[in-house]
Amino acid sequence: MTGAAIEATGLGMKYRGRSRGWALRDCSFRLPAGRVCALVGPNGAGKSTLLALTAGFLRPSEGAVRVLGTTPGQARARVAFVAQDKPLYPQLTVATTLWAGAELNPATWDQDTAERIAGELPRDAAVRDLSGGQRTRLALALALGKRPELLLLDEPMADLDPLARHQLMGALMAEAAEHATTIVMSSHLLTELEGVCDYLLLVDGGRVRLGGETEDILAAHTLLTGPVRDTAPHTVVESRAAGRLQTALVRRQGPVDTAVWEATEPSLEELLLAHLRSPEAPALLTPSASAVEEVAAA
Amino acid sequence: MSAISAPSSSPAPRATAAPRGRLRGPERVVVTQHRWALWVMGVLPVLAVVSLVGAWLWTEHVGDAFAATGCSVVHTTPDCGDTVNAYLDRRLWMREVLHWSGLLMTALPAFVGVFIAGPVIARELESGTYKLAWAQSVTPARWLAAKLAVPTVVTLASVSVLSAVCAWAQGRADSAHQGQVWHERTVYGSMGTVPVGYALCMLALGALVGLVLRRTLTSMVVTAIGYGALVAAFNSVRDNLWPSLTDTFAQGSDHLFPDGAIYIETGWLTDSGRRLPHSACLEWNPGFKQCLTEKNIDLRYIDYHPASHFWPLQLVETGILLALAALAVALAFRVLRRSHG
Repeated sequence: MTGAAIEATGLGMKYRGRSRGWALRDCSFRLPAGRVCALVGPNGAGKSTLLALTAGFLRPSEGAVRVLGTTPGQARARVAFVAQDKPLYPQLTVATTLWAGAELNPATWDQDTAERIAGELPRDAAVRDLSGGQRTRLALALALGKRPELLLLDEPMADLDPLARHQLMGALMAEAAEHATTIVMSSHLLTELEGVCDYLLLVDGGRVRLGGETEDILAAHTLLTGPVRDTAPHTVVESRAAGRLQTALVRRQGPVDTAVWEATEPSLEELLLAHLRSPEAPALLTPSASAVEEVAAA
Repeated sequence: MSAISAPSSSPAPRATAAPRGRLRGPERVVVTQHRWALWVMGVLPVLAVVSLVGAWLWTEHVGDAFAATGCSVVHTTPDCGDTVNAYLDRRLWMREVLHWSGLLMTALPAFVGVFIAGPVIARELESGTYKLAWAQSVTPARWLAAKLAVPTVVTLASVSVLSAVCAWAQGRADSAHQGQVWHERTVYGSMGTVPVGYALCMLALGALVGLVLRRTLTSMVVTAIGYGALVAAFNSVRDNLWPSLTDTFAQGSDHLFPDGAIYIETGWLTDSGRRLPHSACLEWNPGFKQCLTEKNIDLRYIDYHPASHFWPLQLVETGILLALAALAVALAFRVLRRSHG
């Protein structure tokens, strides 16, 4: 088994002193290395918790997550993480922040990359005087300057205007392509990620509901339109009837009877919304996203 | 020169080890983050040396000038009045300077603790900036170690110098017979090893409080209250930190209390050697003599610490404080490891 960037088995996280219960429960999935993965789900789904566990900021309440083949703590130098609030020291300047990045990552720091991402940020401006978008840019410069093998970004583009978003996303993808960096980007806005991500993780209610190559997940589903009748043998994700007509998003089990149904491939957005509206729909993990059970090989 | 990496034109990572003998990454970042506070801690001893030495030079100059006038404090003459007044004012002023510098010294550990608890630890946790450090190649434990190491070094140096300066100024006052007694809080707490012990203990406790509470203001207030409790606790047990001496003497005989000793307790000794409180028989009661014979009281005892117990008391107190500090640091790392892996 080679090349898993993240491998979670039975991962669960319960915050102490909070009555909300489990932020994440029974998560098992696998993210192959080299992918650009969209981590999507509604607010409070457990995306940030999953990223914080992967980055080694939190100790899981149960289960385990392995990062780049080792523990999150051991992988720390090879993983970069930009938290949702873009933490930066407000009293430092842009230049000092980049200097701190070099000091704190002595083994991997690449000043040129950091400078390139920082772009036209005024180097002697204090971080506290930067706008939200500028802070995002600086936080990304710090993360990419580290030259990570795995880059975890929690809601990275929320503070950016469309132009800056496009530009930074381009720079990010260029870096990823050049160094085969694995990227996990969380967002509750799918449009932010569609088109750049080739892998998908849908987290909802503290569980992984969909995981795998975007194409494979899309290909596994079909949007059926036709008369109101049983859709067996296909697994129904969501079914809606309007008059005598029924629209159903199903996971195909065998060929679709095209004499009865009109079959189309759903858009990614339709697929995700259908799953979010139907919490009881079974989870789907493609083979590459399935965590390998710890079978006693010997 | 092993730390110099080969110049490279390729965009490969510049893998360089930190040059030996210089601060390493996390410590350098901590220094940069808190440079103003560290600067103040560094300047404080300089200010103290300059002001205390200046105050003494001035006082002694006034004393010398007074001696040259031929006036005397004891046998003063009418035309000497103003000169004597000016001289006595100056000596009184110097006493005040010593008292206040001692008071500031005893308050210093509280400032150290409050600073560590609030701005150094809790603020990072509250505002989320700890994630910046942890997202780099720095483990949470390494981060905390740097956060403790830098203030510890600066505090150790600063408070040691301040304590030495206070001891010097106090020593000069003693030789001029205008000092305060050694066991007064502002004297005992401002010199020797005790100020260093309190400062390091508060540093560690502040870090623990900041880590547990994770709120800047709350942590600062709790740490300040904690210092008050710590000082109060030591004030109540200090006399027992080192075995005191006991003098016994016959009732009615004059007892010569040693010079500079601190009185702890007095009472009666029965002929069987049992101790009774002083109130068991009071001298001004009519039946005093009868009381003594009824209770078989033989002698009177007095417990005290002579001036020579200054160092044993100081060292024991410092030892306990450093043990507390070590415990707090161990707990702090435990708290960090338990929740953050």
